[in-house]
Amino acid sequence: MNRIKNSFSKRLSLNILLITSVLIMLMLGIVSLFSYRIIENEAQQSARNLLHSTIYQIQSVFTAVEEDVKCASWLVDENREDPDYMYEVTRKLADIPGIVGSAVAFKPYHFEGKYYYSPYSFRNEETGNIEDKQLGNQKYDYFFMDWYQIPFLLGEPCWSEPYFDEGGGDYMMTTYSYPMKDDEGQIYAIITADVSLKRITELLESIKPYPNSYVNLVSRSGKFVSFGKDNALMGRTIFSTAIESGNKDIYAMARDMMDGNDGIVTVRREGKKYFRVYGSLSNKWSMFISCSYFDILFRAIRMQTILTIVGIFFLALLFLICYSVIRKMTQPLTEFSESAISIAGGNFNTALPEIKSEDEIGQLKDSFDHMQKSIREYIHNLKNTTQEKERLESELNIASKIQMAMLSKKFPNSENIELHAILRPAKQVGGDLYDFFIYDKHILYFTVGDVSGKGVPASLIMAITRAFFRFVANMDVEPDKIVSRLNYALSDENDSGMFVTLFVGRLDLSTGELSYCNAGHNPVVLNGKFLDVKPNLAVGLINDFKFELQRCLISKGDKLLLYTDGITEAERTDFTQFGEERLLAWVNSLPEDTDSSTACHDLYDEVKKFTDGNEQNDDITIMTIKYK
Amino acid sequence: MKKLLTITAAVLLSLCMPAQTKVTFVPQWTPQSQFAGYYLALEKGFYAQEGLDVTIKHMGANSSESVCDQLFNGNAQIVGMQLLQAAIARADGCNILNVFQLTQKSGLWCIGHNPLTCPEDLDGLRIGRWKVGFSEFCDILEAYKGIHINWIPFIQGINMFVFGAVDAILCYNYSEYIAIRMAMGDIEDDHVLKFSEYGYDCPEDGLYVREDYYDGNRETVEKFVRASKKGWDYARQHPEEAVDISMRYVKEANVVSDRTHQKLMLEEYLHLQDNPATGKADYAPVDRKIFEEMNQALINTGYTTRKIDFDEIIR
Repeated sequence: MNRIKNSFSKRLSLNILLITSVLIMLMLGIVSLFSYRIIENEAQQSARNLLHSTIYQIQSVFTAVEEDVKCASWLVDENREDPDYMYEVTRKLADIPGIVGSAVAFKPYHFEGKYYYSPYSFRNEETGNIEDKQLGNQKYDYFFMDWYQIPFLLGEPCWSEPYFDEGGGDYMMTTYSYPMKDDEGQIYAIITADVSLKRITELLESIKPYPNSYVNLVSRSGKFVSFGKDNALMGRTIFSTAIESGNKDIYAMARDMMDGNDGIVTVRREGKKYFRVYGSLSNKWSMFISCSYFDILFRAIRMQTILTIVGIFFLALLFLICYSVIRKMTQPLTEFSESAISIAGGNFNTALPEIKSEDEIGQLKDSFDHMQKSIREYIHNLKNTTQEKERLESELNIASKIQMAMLSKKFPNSENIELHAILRPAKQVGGDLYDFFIYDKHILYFTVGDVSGKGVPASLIMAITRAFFRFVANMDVEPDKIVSRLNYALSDENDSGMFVTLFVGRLDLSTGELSYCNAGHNPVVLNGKFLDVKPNLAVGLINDFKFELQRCLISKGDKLLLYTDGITEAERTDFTQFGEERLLAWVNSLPEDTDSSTACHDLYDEVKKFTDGNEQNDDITIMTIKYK
Repeated sequence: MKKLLTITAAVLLSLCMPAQTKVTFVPQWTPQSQFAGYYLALEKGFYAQEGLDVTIKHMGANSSESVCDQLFNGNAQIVGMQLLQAAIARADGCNILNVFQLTQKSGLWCIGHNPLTCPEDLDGLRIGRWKVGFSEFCDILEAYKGIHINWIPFIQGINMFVFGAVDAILCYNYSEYIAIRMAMGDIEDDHVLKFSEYGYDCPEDGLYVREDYYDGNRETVEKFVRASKKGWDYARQHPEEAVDISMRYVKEANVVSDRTHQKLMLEEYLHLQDNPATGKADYAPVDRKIFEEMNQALINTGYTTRKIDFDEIIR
């Protein structure tokens, strides 16, 4: 099975074989159906013709006898007072071919003193001579025999039922009876002519349009004239066989036939399908021909069987040819497959199979060729890009290190001040900044800022801002001046449109006096509450903006928390932000004696815990100041 | 040696066996399954078991003699007859005795080409009836109903009806009626007149012997009756076999008939053996009341001139 699955040519060949088989079967089925119908119709027509010709043959036998008797009736009538002459009549009739015996049976006492008078002549089968005898005695009371009694009662000629006659013959016969009437219309005698059914039976049995078909003659009371094989139908009637079969169609046909109608009926019996054509004779007998459809269609079925066997052979041949041709045609595909595997293994210069045709395979080769070139170019470009990226990453790492090195790492921890800060950029280099320094041993300058944007541009602005802060603050000016100068410097020719939010503070460590200026930065937290700060405007936007200075006095033990929006805007995957409330709650949950360094790192951890592994999307800067 | 011993044993056995009593039985018609019980009694050895050597001879289809004649011309010791026929024969001086009553009901019907609603519909019709016996009822019918029927006697059966030579035909439901169905197909119900529905339900077939034979061979007669009952019991239990054996008799006599016909005949005939009082085939003797009614009818119609005593004929 796997061999078939793995072979395109085998699968395609099998599919072609399957489709072809179905189409051929369909075609054979349709052709068979129509040919069967035609054959059936022709067989039925042929059976009808055969029936009518056979009826004509039998009818002619009966008609000839009827004519002979009719001729003889003239002699009987002419000589009806001469009993001896009747033998002349019976001998003449018995001598006619087809007639085996003849009687002229007179009514009781037609001749004086003679109750029975019926000369009977018959041909002796052994000698061939015509012999005479008288019928009628106490044991053979012919007045009550059907051949006498029925035409006598009917007053018209008739053919008797087939019978074994004990008195007159030893074989199945039928008798034609012709009533003789006197001038007053009274019947005085019955002329009979016995006809052996032997010849008719032989005729019926000789007719075999098909091997298992049979023809039969049915008498007026439904009796079969031919008894068939082993005399199976002897003594049977058309109705007894119909009742025995239990088949309504056969019974209906028997009824229609006995009503003297012609027709055709199809019946199923013991799983086989037959048709019967039937017709009637003038003596109210009927004849039918029964043919099995299997016999009729036998030749067609045989032809169909041969066609099927030949078809199977040719289909097998078709499969082999298809397989061979398709395999040859698809051979380049196998080579392409091998080339593709080789290319996938890194051998981009692998040679492709030679294709000269311009068909789909040729197009595939062109496509493969193009793809191979494209891959080569792509890999080349990728290599360059990767090298460039590695170089940039290396430079960025250096930049990061430089940026981190700019930040003050020596945090003051003296008897009156404790300060700690951390900066965690979202990328290698960031836009956040913090700085601090103590001026003149008692003035602490500190700042936390956030440059708009991220990455290298922001880091450059950050570096400028931090350098400017140091430069201006060292002149011991108030924070608003620092901010204003910074603003002026940054906004001048600020084509990039970048800006910095900034909080700058100045704490007099000896007095606790805190002056500060906020340039659009997040509010600072003092002892668990937001410090009252004016928002002002970010630095770098409007160069002559008037920044407002604010002042307050803090006490020993007071704690300041500065941060960037990387804290409050830290997000979880569901976009919930850390927020200011959570920040204040965290501040207020801190133990009193927590040092600045621990507080910084705790807050950072708290934010990381909150974001639950979500990627940090902004720089985070935290600065804690404890005034002691 | 072995052969000699076998022959000796056979000779001794034959000497020890009592001599078989020869009996000839003539049923009232040609071979058919109407007599299946008797055929089986013979074939199955029931008669032989009773020490009887029975020969069954049939009446010829074309015979003009009556079955009763067979008892007096020496052809038979036992015959099958109908009760009505037997009573008339007895009244006419034939000293015959009913030794076994087989059927308990009448199967006499009349079939017409046109519908028949009551016996009065038969008035003026040409109706076929058997030439040999079975037709005494017809005279009673005419006398009782005040109708005139043109009776046409027949010997050969139903053909005159099939050919339309008669308007109607008398028939037995187990015999001619089935033959008509075999010849013409099913007959419409309203074309059938069942006389049992109009007060005529006289039991029919039974076995009869000459009185003097009975007096001298009573034991033989009783044995014959006993074996015949066994034959009918066997037929009831094995109807297919009974039909097969009947068909053998039919074919041997060159009678034109077929198995379907004989099978249907046996079915109907076994129904006629059911006792209307018990619903079973218990071979009840002739009912005295029914016999007396029949006797009276025969006298009233002038068919017989003297009243036959029940005990005179029924044993």
